[in-house]
Amino acid sequence: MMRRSIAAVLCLMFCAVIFHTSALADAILSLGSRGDNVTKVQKRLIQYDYLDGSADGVYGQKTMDAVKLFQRRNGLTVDGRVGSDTAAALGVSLTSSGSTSSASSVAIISSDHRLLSRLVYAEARGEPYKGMVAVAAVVLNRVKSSSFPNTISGVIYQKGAFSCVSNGSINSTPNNQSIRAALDAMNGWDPTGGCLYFYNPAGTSDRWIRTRTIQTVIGNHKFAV
Amino acid sequence: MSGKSSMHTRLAAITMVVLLIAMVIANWAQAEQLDQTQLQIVSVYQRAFYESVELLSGLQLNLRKLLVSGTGAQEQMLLNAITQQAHGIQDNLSLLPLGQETIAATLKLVNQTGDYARTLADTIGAGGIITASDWKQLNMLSEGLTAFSLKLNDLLVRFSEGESIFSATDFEPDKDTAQINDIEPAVDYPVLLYDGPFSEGRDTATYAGLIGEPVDVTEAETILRSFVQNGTGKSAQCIPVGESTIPVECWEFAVTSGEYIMSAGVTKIGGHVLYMLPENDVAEKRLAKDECIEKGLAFLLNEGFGSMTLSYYRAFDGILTVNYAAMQDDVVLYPDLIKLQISMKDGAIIGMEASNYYANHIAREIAEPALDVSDATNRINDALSIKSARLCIIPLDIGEALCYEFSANKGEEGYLVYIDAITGLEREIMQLVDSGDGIIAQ
Repeated sequence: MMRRSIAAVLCLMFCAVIFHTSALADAILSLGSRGDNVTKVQKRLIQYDYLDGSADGVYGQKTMDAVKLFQRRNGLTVDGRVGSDTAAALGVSLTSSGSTSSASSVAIISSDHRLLSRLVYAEARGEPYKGMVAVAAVVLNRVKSSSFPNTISGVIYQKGAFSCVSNGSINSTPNNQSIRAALDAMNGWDPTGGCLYFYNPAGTSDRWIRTRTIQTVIGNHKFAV
Repeated sequence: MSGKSSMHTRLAAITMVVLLIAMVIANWAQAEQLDQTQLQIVSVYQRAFYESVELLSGLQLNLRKLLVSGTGAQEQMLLNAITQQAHGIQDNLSLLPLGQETIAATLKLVNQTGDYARTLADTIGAGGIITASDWKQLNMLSEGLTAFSLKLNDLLVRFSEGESIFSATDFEPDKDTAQINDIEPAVDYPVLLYDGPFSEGRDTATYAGLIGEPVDVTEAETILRSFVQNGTGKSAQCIPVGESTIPVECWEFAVTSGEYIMSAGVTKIGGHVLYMLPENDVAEKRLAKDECIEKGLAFLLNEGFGSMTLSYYRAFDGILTVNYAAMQDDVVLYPDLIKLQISMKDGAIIGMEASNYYANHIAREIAEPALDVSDATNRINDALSIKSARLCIIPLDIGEALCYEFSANKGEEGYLVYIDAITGLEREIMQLVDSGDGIIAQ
């Protein structure tokens, strides 16, 4: 059963990358550009978690930063401008009229990887990198454990499991380190060695969790089984 | 004067009344919306509840049928159905607003039933049979689930009558179902496949590959320093920061070498570097992936891991994560994996994960294959064109199997197919996917 759900996670995680190459080569967007092409690019950046807010069709500093991050993450020339290569990687076709959009998909990060990155950012921002990987590893250890739900989303949204779900901070955009930490944990790094719980002794009033056996302390978090 | 003031008063009064009415309406609308939202949530819970009950009664029926079934094919069909039903129950129970403390034991019972059924179905698929102790276990599970089912039905009635049942201890299992854990035979959990083929190995409690004399913290520091220096090509400082006990006892260090900051653990037994994690992001990519992969191979050879073979790799920014498998003679040992993280800026080894390796790595007694390559080739689907074949050992749910690994193509798609070299069974199929950042088997 577990294997199946993991296989499903994998299918999501490693969707094939399909580049759309029919973009017009001469249209280039950069700082100050406006219009439908910019909106399309912004929508994709928001969809892939590179950009916050709404697509307003104005290529400002925030959009440029997001484009640079996207370029860096995808092995493109990092110039902060959207030319044919970046547009293709984003799955957007730039048009002179700006009226059509392609439907190709690029899996930069899977939905599970994205969710795990968000949890890491919300729960372990400001912790040492090892502590961020450790928080992600706790989620994956729960997925493996028969006492918890069998999917990453099931574990994260279990009632009362993580405070960032009840206070909404899980919806913030994760930073680069959180995304990398989630990936390292998915790749098998587990600095907790199989822990199922963690808590910040200064920030929890939950007496039950304090009864768990502590195995290791990383940064401000205690990790327990 | 008085007329003017009374007009003011009247105006104020009218304004007040209008405001009051507006507020009442707004409040009512809000309450209405809240009611709607609550109704929607309650119906989601109700659906999850009903579905759990429905799936559970189906599962129980299949378990009863299984206990009287006479043929392997029928048994396998029923076991597969049970696995799916258990999965569905687990999904639905997880939707209910129950805290982990409340639901853990119940989830465990359901998950174990599903995993157990799957393992048995695999056993039958591989030509095995359900043994007497398995039957005993199935009987126990059946009884445990019957008790749970009665309880769930009772809870459903109370919930439909509007009672709040989610905060109570209603979901805790009875004492007699808790003892199932005690008599459970060794059910190893399934192999998890996050990245490369067999990269999660098995969850092993014992570290078979961890050998050597105990080391103290000073010896561990010396070992780690030389390890890091060989990996980065620069001098390294290792500062002890404590100890950890899991998965095995380790000395923990904070490491600095050149521009890289890392954390690492060295096992107390034998003084082996168990893991290393880079703190830094690496943004620059000056080296090609192939160069980095070669550097990793050379590093592992130099550190005494022998000649390992590349399994898969994936880049994130300027960090390349590469998975290497150990070799014995010409046989790839997939359970014995080491992952390295290599900086594509300068080729420095800045990360390592070797728990699978130390958990599994022992000298294997590799049997002579009963099938030769052409026998095994005949068992491959005709739709595939074979590119290469080699012998390997793969982890199973329980134990390992000697297989031929075929690298094959169907049109543009790449696959790895594993044929058991002793029994001829097709053990596993993996699809190779080029994600742009690396090649991954899934």
